[in-house]
Parts: sequence; C-alpha cells; structure tokens
Amino acid sequence: MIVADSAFTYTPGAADWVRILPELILLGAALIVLLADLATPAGRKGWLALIGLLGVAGSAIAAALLFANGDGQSAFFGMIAADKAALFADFVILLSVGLGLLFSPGYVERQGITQLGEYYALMLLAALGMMFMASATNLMIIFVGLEVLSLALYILSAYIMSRSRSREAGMKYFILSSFASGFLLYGMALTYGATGQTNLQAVRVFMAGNAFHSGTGFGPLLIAGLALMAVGFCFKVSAVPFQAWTPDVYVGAPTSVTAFMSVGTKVAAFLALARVFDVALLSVHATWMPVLWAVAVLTMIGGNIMAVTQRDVKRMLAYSSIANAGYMLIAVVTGTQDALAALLIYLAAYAAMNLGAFGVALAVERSDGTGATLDDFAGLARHRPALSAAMSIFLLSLAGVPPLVGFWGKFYVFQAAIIGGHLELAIIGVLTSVIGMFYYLRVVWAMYFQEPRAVGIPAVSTLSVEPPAPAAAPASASGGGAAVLVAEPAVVAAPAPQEAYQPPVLAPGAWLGLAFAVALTVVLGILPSGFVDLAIQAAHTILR
Amino acid sequence: MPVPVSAYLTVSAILFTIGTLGVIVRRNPLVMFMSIELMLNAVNLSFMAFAHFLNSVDGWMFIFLVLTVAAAEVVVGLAIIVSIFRSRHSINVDELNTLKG
Repeated sequence: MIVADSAFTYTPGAADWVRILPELILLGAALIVLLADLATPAGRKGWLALIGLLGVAGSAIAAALLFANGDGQSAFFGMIAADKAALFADFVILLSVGLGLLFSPGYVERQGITQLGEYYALMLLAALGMMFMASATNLMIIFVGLEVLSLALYILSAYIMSRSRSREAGMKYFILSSFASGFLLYGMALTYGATGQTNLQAVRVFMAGNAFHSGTGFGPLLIAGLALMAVGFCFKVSAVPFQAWTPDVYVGAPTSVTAFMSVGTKVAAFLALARVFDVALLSVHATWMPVLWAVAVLTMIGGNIMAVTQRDVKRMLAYSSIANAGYMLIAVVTGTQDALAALLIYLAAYAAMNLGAFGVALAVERSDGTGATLDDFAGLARHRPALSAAMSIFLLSLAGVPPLVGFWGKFYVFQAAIIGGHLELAIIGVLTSVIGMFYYLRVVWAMYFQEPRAVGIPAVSTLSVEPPAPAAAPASASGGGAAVLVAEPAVVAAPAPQEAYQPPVLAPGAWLGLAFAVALTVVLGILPSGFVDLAIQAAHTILR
Repeated sequence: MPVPVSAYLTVSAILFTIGTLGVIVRRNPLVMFMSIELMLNAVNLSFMAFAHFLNSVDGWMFIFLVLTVAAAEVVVGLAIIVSIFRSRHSINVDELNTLKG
C-alpha cells in the first residue's frame, strides 16, 4: 500500500524493463505489423503473418533466456512477476498465438476477411494482454491484462463483418464478458477494502498476519470480495454455470481466432486465478474451497454431458473446452505446489492438442463458415488421410489416451488431487473423462468407418490436389516459412469455382502448424519428463 | 458530520445492483451496455471510498485504469452494436438467435 500523504518515489531501472522483455518484443511486433500493413500491397499480406511469427519467436527466445538466467523477481514495484510460472505461461501463450498465426493465412482470405493488418496486430495484442495477465502480481495488472486481451478478442470474434454469426459472437462475447469484468472488478474493490492492498504479495502477508482465529470469521467485505472475484474468474474460464457464452462465441468467431482464444484466455485466466486464490488467499483456503469445488464438479459433469449431444465439431470442441476447464479447476481447488505444476502441465498439453483439433476443423470448414459437422467429417480419412490422422491424434490426446500428451495432463492433475486430499475430485474427473472418450472417439469413428455423405463432402475426383503430408512440411519455421507464407495467397486464389464443391486447399503455413501441433502432442506424450520438470520448477518458484 | 464509509459502500452496492439488474432485464444492447458502465462506476465509487478511508493511493490508481478501460470498451462495443444495427435495423438481443445458445 502506498500511503497517500507520504513522499513516494520509485524509479524503474533497466532490470525492470528486462523482466518484461517478452511482452515488449511482442508489443513491438504488433506495432510493426500495423505499420507494415500500410506498405504492403493487397495479396501480399502473408508477410504480416511472418512478421508476427518472428515477433512471437523473438518473444519466446527472450522468455527462454529469462527462464534460464532471470532472477524470478517482480518488476515495477511488484506489479509484474518474471517468475518461472509466468514465463512458462508465456511459452504456452506464444505457442497458441504462433499456431493461430500459422493457421490464419489462406483461411482468413477464404472467409472474406480483408483488413489483415489489424487482424494480425490484434492477435498479437491479445497475446500481449494474456501474457500481462498471466504474469500479474497486482490486482490492477490482472484487470488491465484481462481487458487488453478481451478488447482485442471482442473485435476478432466479430471480425467477419459480412457474416451475422460472427457479428453476433462478437456482441455476445462483448456484453457477457464486460458483465463478468464488472463482477471481477467489484470483487477486487472489496478485497482491496478488506485488506488495504492490491499487491498480491501484500495481500498474502496481510492474510497471514491477521490470522482470523477469533472464530468470528473475517468480515463480510472479504467474503463478498472473494465470491465476486470467483464469479468473475469463472466467467472468464467458462466454468459451468457461467459457460453460456462459450459455445456461441467459439462457433461464431473465425476458427483461427477460436483456436487461439480457447487456449490463450484459459492460460491467462487460470494463472491469475491460481495467483489470487492459491498464492495470495491460500491462508483462507477453507473459505473459498467449497465454492470452487462445486464449480469444478459442475463444470466437469456439465461440460462433458453437453458435449455428447453436439453434432457440430466446433461446438463439440467448445463444450470440450468447458470440460477441460473443469479438470484445470481441480488443480486450483487442490492448491498445493504439485497441483500448480499439474495445472501448468495441463495447460501446455491442452494448448498443443486443442489448437491442433481446431486447426483441423478450420481445414475442413467451407468459405461460409459451415461444414464442420459430424456429417462433414464422415469418411474424411478416404480423401484426406493426413488430416484425419492428425485429427485422430488430437482427439485421442484430448480423450486422455496414454502415449499422448493429454494423458500426462490428466495424470498429473488427478495425482495432485489425490495427494492433496481430493480423492473425490479425481474420481469424478476419471468418470467424466470416460464420457469424454465417447464424443471424441465418435469423430474418429466418423472419419474412418463411415461413408462420406453426399452433402458437402467432395467427390473423390476433385481431390487431386491433396496437399503434402505434414511430415513433408518445411522443418524450419522461419527460414522456410517466409516463402510459403508469402506464396500462399496465390494458392488460395487458384481457380475452379465452378466445381460442385472444391475442398479448401490448405495453405502451407497451416500444414506447418498442424505438423508442429502433432509433433508436440506425440513427442511430449512419449517423452514428458523434460517439460514436466520445467513445469514443476516453475510452480515451485511462483512468487509467494 | 462526516459521512461514514459504510454510506459510500451502500450507495455503491445499490448502484451495482441496479446495473446488474439492468443487464439482466433490459433487451436493448445499448441499455445493457449503459448498465455495465453503471456497474463499473459503482465499483469506482467503492475504490474511491476505500482509498480515502485507508489513506492509500492504490484505489485512486485503480480508478484511472477502470475509467480508461471503460472508455476503450465504449469504442469497441459501440462499433459492434452499430455494425449489427446496420445490417438488421434492429438491435434487440432476443432477435440475435442465429447461434442457438
């Protein structure tokens, strides 16, 4: 707390700026994209994605250096932490925005998006907000980060202005998300009133120092603050009963944006949730635990059961993301350091497989935004074997099948829950995962064992242009990426409009992205020890 | 007679409740949006009261951030609302039912 009438000076030094270097590089990339947009002729906007990707790569390198060499202290008078948990989250966010950018060229032109400069810049700015929110150690920065990411995502959701579904998604997201922000903010205000602090570390010290052992509790202000903050966060991570906006927004928004936001917002919101509830408010764990416990159970059961009835694969993935939020909430409820490590592992695993699954949905989607139902996936393996194989890997991983990365996410979360004394949550998690198995495998079944439907799915003869298998995609992201990303608009503009239905030709960047997601899902699944160690290291050095 | 902090907090809570009810009850996005702004400003009142009575500047700083964010939200929100109105000549949220949710 800064006392109002004392002379207070704080001069940020170079060390402060170094600690937010990943964010600064991403911000620079976003601004360069905006400027470069003016100098780039239409049809060559693929360059902008490349600039964005270079910014993401640079930011990831800075985060890696800070992870290896940084001192893990907070910057700007305790506003932002550069601890390893924040940097680990930065990696996951950068992975999701990187894949989102890779999926975009080709897809966005097909969907009739024209203002590509702003599109790429907003993707980067949303990622910037996510990184700020994930590293925030002050309620103010949590709020600012949240709003930066939300404002960018409102616009991105509504980006296909000619399509009513997209406009509607933007509107719904805007109203419901600002509504939730109001609750979160009121919760922060009351917590500030009860503790006199906005710095999470100071809140933690205050809570520990004022051990509320008197038996009378600790004031209605704090209780109300906790409840309102919990409501706000639950909205943001789309936990049941606050999940209503999720499927609509995920279906209506451009799929490249959905893929990115379904992962990125979860990373940011869960890191902030963990910092507020598992770090700052850990000493009153018993007070908030029952509430989040109930939300976690409802989310796991509700998300999985609602996903079963969906026939649209994008919608199914939206409900699946709700179900996954439930598993992540288990880790937050448990609240031990192991649980925080498990949360980070789960987030990383979720990023790889969920982005991949949305990437495949984006590849089969038609130019009017439809065409990702179970019927469209029927018999897909026959004419798009590589795509079907990738989708199967992502879905099996989401279902938690052992050699893939999704299994380890679930394994560590359930293990942490059992060790942390929440056996019942682990049991509910396992049981609801079985429901999950059904709707994930139904898509795999449709792709491999069903006849293609006449509607929408192309005849085999039009499929002479099967793109190269993922393995053949260029291995170096930046070197080979330059040529493919820039060459790509010409590919999309390729003719043959008079065919009954031309399958979307997937841009090389998207193949690269899918190959990368497959590689992560499989390699991290087979050799998890490396990244699990990093996550454990990160969780143990989270600023306390 | 000095006004106690509880008075400010009560007014703030009432304003916040009015805003919440407005979002839930009204069907015009513009009015819903105004209700959200009311909620944010109710929170600002709380921050102001706490900052004054705790003699701490954190609350004041928070108010500046909230005001800035609210202004940015107006820009984005109005743009989306206007674009919907242009294409439909109606902005009743009950008619926004292309997505079934």
